[in-house]
Amino acid sequence: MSSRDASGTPAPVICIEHVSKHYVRGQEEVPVLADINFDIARGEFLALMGPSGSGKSTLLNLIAGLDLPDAGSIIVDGVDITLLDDAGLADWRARNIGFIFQFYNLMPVLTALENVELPLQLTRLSRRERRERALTALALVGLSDRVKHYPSELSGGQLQRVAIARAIVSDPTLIVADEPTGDLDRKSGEEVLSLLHRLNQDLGKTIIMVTHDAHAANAARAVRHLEKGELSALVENRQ
Amino acid sequence: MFELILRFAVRNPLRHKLRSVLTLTGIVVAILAFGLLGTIVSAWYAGVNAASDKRLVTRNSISLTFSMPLAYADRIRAIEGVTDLSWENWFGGIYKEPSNFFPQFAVEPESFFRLVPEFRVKPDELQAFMRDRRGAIVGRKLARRFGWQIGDVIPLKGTIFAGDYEFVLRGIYDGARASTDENQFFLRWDYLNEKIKQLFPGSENQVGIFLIGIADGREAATVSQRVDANFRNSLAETLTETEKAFQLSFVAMTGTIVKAIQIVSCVIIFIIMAVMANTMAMAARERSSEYATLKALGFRPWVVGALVYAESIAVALSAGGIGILLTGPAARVVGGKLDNIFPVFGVAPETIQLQWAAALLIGLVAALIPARQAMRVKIIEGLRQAG
Repeated sequence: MSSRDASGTPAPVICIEHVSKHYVRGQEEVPVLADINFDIARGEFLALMGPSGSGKSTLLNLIAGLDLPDAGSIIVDGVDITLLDDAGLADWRARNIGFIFQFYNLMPVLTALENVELPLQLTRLSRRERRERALTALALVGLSDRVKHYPSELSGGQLQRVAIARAIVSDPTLIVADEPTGDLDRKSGEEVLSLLHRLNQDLGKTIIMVTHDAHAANAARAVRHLEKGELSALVENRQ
Repeated sequence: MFELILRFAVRNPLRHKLRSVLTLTGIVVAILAFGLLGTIVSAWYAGVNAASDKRLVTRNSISLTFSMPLAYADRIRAIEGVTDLSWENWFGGIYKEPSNFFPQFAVEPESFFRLVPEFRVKPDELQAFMRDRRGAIVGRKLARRFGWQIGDVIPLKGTIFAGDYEFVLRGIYDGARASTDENQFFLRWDYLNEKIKQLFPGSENQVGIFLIGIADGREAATVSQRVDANFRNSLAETLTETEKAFQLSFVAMTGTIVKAIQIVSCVIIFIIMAVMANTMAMAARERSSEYATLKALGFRPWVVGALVYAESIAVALSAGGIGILLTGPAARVVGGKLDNIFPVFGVAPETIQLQWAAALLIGLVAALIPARQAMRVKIIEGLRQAG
């Protein structure tokens, strides 16, 4: 796939076509997403905004291959992930997705270095190569001096930076961040947003971030709003 | 991947130290109890295991309480395949108090220690026993139990052969193997026979059992048949069997007790299995967000299941190891207290193997349901529990 189309617009890395999703609560069917269609260009940094229950996290989970839509297709880098089975999706996620969660989701019994190394356990890299890559990722997020610290010994901002290092260590196609600053104080939140910005600007990483915080959304290059299962047009942010 | 699973298995139990220590202690106690009960069962069978396959025992076919004429000795000696012969009677005396129980046998002095070489007596002590009709030879443990020295006079009150008897300790035997019973007391059959002649005229020259030596254990059945055929239709028909079968018939009498002990052992393991399963289920429930994260990162469900299994097995085997280490010293203490009931009380290698197997089983079974739960954690639901 070429990185730009004929008009010079970056080629989409994600194509979402007619995606719908509903949940069942008791006897009731609750529609969450209704016929969603949009593309995400390679190298994009998109913020998905919306009130609670608007379906933004559901959409993010579908794009990240954590859940499957009721209808429609999600094509990521040429692969329709809705056609993959559980094992295929697991392998696909390991190769293509870097996750950043609101509550970091680090393993408490592993050091920062071991946590970052975790996704590389699913590759064929040697122990030495894994270690080198994890150290590089930690250096990139400014935590070279915390490699042997356990999560309980790190601050919230540091924990999220470890999580970011874990998300980028396997050089994924896409980074998905679900409320990455939601559990952080303002200063730590700024650091994390600045880091995501750098990853997008300097390393060309495609990032989709779910947030309900307008300030956080401003760090992205573009914003889409999701309300009552429907998606608004793309709004470019001024950088 | 193996290294990663091992890392989780070693570190995860340390997250809730108190809970882990309590679970560990429970398993240690269970494995220790399982080992001790297993040792008791082994002790029950000690006589059987120590029996020689080159010795046969002939008794009255009606019951062991009925005797046989000494005259049978010459006829047995003449049977093809018999290489040696001795005989003995149960004495059943009381040393000071009935609670001071130990087995006492009146044995034919010349042949007995030749036929039972696992009772090792110094030649000079054996000579002294042969010279003294009131002589006695006792096992090392028995001598130690009552502080007897060579030359001591040991009074016994006869119960079967009523009367007061005094024996002079002429020798102390040592067992050839660790499993040899060193708690027995041997007096001379000819001395007892003489006493019977005086006290109960007409009851002399009777034998409790004949001990027959054979050259080849494979001939045991044939020789047994020849012996019994020889005394068919006589006043005291005989039943001949291997020494092992003879010992087993005693164990069979208490088979229900052995069975009860074995059931209790299994119940203990089952209870601790349930306790451990509960611990693992709690741990797995608490960690569902971690399992969801691992699955989100691309780890397959079997890896998540392996984490639970590895942790459960690591805890169970560590506790099992401690329990096994404690079994030896505990068995020495218990064995010391039960010396008069179980002369041979040592932890057998088979018991240790069973303890390891039980610990492994605890680990495996306890992880069965929690691992299944962990493998089935839905990523979205698991991730929601974080924070």
